Amino acid sequence: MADGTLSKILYVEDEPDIQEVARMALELVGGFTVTICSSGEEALAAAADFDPDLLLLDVMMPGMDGPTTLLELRKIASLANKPAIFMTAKVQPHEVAEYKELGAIDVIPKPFDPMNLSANIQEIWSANIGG
Amino acid sequence: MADSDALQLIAEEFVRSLPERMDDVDAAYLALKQDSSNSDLMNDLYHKVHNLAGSSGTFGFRQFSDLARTILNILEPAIKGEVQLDDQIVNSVGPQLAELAKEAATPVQIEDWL
Repeated sequence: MADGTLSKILYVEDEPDIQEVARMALELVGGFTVTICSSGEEALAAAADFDPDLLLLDVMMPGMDGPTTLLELRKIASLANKPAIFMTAKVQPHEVAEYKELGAIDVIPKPFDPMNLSANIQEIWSANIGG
Repeated sequence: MADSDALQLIAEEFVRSLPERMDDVDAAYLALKQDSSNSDLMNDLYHKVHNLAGSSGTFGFRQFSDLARTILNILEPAIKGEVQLDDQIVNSVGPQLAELAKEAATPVQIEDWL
């Protein structure tokens, strides 16, 4: 499991509007270094070189969905234990429990509040990882 | 420019893009109506509406997002394979899509967005 300060976030999201808002929210508001990938396949190609502290994944994407992407990312040795957070509109307790069983440390509900997204992620990081 | 101003500009661009996006959704729906057992067409419509629901919600257009999610809820059992997609399901999307189109004409942003 990772430890220390959260700095680099790999964000996987297929919707360009949400990518744009999230980039502003994470980079400008939160001060994080962010790489955004539009698909699971793109994330698999970019993740190892970027070496993120945190994987942030949309659940519902065409093609490879978020949970499948996480499973595939976990096969990359350097990412096997990276903390992951899912983002989804489906946040019923049983759904959140399923995502955590898949290895996510938490779930952020969509739609998210752009001005609070970074603080929300930092809180989850601090509660689960430390730093 | 404050971060919130920049975010609002993105939201305004989203509103400007809505007519074209609704045209895409309408086209996807019409295609599905003509071939209501075609799962590829169903997935195409679902993802287009899903993206609209997510974007509009993120930009604070709650009513629009909720209406879009109503359509997702209609399609979801078929998307999950729990039921077979049929004319009845496809036809029930039509009125909801009409409501969504009305809201798209003048989408209302919640006051406390940002």
